[in-house]
Amino acid sequence: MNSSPETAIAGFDEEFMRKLEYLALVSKRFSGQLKAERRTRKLGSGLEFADYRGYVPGDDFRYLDWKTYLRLDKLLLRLYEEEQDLPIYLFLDCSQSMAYGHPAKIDYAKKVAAALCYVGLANLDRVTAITYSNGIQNQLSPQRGKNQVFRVFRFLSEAGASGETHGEEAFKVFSTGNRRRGLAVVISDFLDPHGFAGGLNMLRYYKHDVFAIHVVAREDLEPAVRGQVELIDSESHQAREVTITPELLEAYKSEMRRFSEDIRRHCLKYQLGYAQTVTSFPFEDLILEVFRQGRFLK
Amino acid sequence: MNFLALSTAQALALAGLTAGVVVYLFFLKLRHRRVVVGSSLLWNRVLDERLANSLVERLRRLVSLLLALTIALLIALAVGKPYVDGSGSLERPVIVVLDTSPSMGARGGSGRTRWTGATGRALGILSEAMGARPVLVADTAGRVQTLVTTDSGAVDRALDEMRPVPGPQRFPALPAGEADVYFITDGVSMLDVPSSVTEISVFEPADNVAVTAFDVRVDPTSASGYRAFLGVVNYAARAKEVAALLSGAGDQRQAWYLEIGPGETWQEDLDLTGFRGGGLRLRIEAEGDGLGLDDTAYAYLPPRNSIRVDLVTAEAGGYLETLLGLSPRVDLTIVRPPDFEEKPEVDVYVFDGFAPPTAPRSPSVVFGAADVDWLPPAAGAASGQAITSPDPEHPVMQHVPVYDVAVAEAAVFEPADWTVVAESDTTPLVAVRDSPVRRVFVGFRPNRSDFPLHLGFPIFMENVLAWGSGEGLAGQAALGYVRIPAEAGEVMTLDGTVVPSRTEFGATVIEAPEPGLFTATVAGRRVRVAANLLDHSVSNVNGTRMTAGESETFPAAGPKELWWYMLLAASLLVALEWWTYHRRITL
Repeated sequence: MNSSPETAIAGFDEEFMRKLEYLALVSKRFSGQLKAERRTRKLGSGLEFADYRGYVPGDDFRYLDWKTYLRLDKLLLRLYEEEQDLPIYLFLDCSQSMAYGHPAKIDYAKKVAAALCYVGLANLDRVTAITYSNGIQNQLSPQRGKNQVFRVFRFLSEAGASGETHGEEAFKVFSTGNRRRGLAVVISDFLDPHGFAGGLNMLRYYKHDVFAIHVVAREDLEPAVRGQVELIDSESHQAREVTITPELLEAYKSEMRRFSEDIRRHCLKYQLGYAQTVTSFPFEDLILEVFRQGRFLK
Repeated sequence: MNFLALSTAQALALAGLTAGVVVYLFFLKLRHRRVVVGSSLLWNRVLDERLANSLVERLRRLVSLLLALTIALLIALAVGKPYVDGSGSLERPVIVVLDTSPSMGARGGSGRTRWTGATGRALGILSEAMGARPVLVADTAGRVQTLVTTDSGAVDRALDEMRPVPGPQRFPALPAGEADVYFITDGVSMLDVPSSVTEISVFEPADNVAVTAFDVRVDPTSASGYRAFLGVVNYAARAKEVAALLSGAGDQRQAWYLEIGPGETWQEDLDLTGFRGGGLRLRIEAEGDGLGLDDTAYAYLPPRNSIRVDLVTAEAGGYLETLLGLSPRVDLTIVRPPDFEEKPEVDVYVFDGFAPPTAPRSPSVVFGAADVDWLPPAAGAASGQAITSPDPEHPVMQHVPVYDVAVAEAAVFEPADWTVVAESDTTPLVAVRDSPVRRVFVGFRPNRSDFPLHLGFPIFMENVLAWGSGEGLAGQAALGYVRIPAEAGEVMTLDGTVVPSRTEFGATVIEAPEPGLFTATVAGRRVRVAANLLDHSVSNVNGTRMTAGESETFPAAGPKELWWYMLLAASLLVALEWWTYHRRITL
């Protein structure tokens, strides 16, 4: 892909674009090897037989299995999987906490989102990018095809971190207006005062296939604070005076590990995709990890 | 707790100011560095889960504040030189008793007297107590004692009035109730000090050479009729060269130049033939002598005038006739009772078993009962008596040994207005009367006792004749308040100075702070009293129950300064705070 003036949007430079191109190529190879995960479960008029069920008045006679009726004297209806083009919803957490870290978690998340969008568009998926915090901040209408990538980039570059996190509320608002199921990729630090599980469960409730990408800043893992400090929450601006002792710091790290493990276990329990990354980790490696899990690619 | 350098109000103000500054600085110090984190979600979980840790956090803050406050207050209040009273009570009065016995006037090697040291210690104790506790000061002479007071002026005046004085000393009776009592003494006087009293020693060794004996006594065998007994003791720890000078009226002198070893006594029995009658003064001088009060002593030598005596007795060749006939100073006339008649030239009448119906105008001595108005009324007779209670202070009984005298038969009489100077367990035996004419009544006749066979009998008779004729030995008294057995008399010293006096119970009382010979004149008659120290227990100024080192120590119950301990505690707390701060235990 040649560089163009639009590649300069918000740090999505030529180097970044080359990486995306590489990832798109890699995704083709993954697509041939992996079982399609994003096939719809909807039964309908497809070609591939799925199951039987009993006839009920009103069913289309054309799908009755007459041979079985002759053998068993029962009216059974043949069911076929309906192949549909499932959309990809990319939820980017733009709460204030995502601005934390060096580099900021939101910058890293934008790159991840851009990469996934690029790959999705390249695979002719319908990609919808949504930014949220305690509600839906902004939403890019569904796009398809690589030529739409710069609209996505522009949309992402314009996203800024603000507001408190409330994933459950944001996903609920989104899902009530978008009934169509799809792959919901949530890119967030999941530092949700109302709990990370609520948001993910809301997406599950609306039958979305969920992939959680947990973005962690190095400063989240290793806070460089000592002594008497007043901790200010960047979202709520609440202050809390505390003396950071080595023991307390160790307890925090332990709590951070437990938090990440809780997310991972939650995703495993409900068969959700999960990947964790630190902002110092190359984003393309994270994308490859996402590919390996197979949910994202057809 | 009190402060030597601050008043209570100043100390409270200082403590309040310090606490305020420390609290302000403490909370200034605790303005924490603001750190923005993406989300405090996990921090809150950690901190909430560690609720106990949160309590510890508050406790740490409190402990840190208290530690800082304690350190600052310790340092600030140490500036005020705090002290605690050993008694533990600020309500209890402080009582200071000063030993005013004469030995307190002794001057030690430092050049100052013990009394100077004592007043200094007293002022030190009182100045610390004044303003915070009531005080009382008293002496052991019973002359000065304040009320329990907070009036520093009254205390100062009392201290100014006090001085070492001769005379009886006793620990004063103090007000009832708990008090901190300090007794400042050299420990020489043996006083009955309650065990609860804190004794402060001002003892300092001193050299002292003292006249411990100076008596003029009747000596019937001597041509002069009197002898002097002298005694000088060296109480110093080293030998002393002493010059002793006995001087009488006019230019009569006798001097001795002595070297007396430590603790040794020089004694002299001196025939006073070379001295005419009148006052005698013995004075000693020794280099570095620490106490002057015992360097001089006085006595009186009666003039050697002949005494005309009429002995009225029915017994020829009796004891009285024999004794009086041998006396060189007595011009004796023997008179039988039927022949008795008064003669104006007789100095003294001696009646043996007889008394005229009317009192003679001259002094008289009566032996044996006689039922006349001018003698004590007789009330019977008693046998097997012994003289058990003589009065050695009275001139008639001076130096008369009578304890082994047995009386076969004696008259029992009522003394009435007579003064008893010797008695048995059951009845008076010898009584005297000073006015209007001196008379002596002896309740038994010489031949009804073994008294004439005793050494004391001639002394007794010499005393009687001397006293009766008005030229007897001087009475002896200790220094201090001196009682002269003469009512309302004018009292003069040997050099003619009139001494203030007062009359008490038929006697004249004067104060003799120094040795002297005092003469009271009443109706033309003279009564003399020699007041001298002559007291081993006082002159032995090094005979103390204290030690010199004790004078440097303050009583255990006294104020105890705390500033050093407070600074030490503050230093330890600073070290502790440093250690805990660097281990995040304190803030």
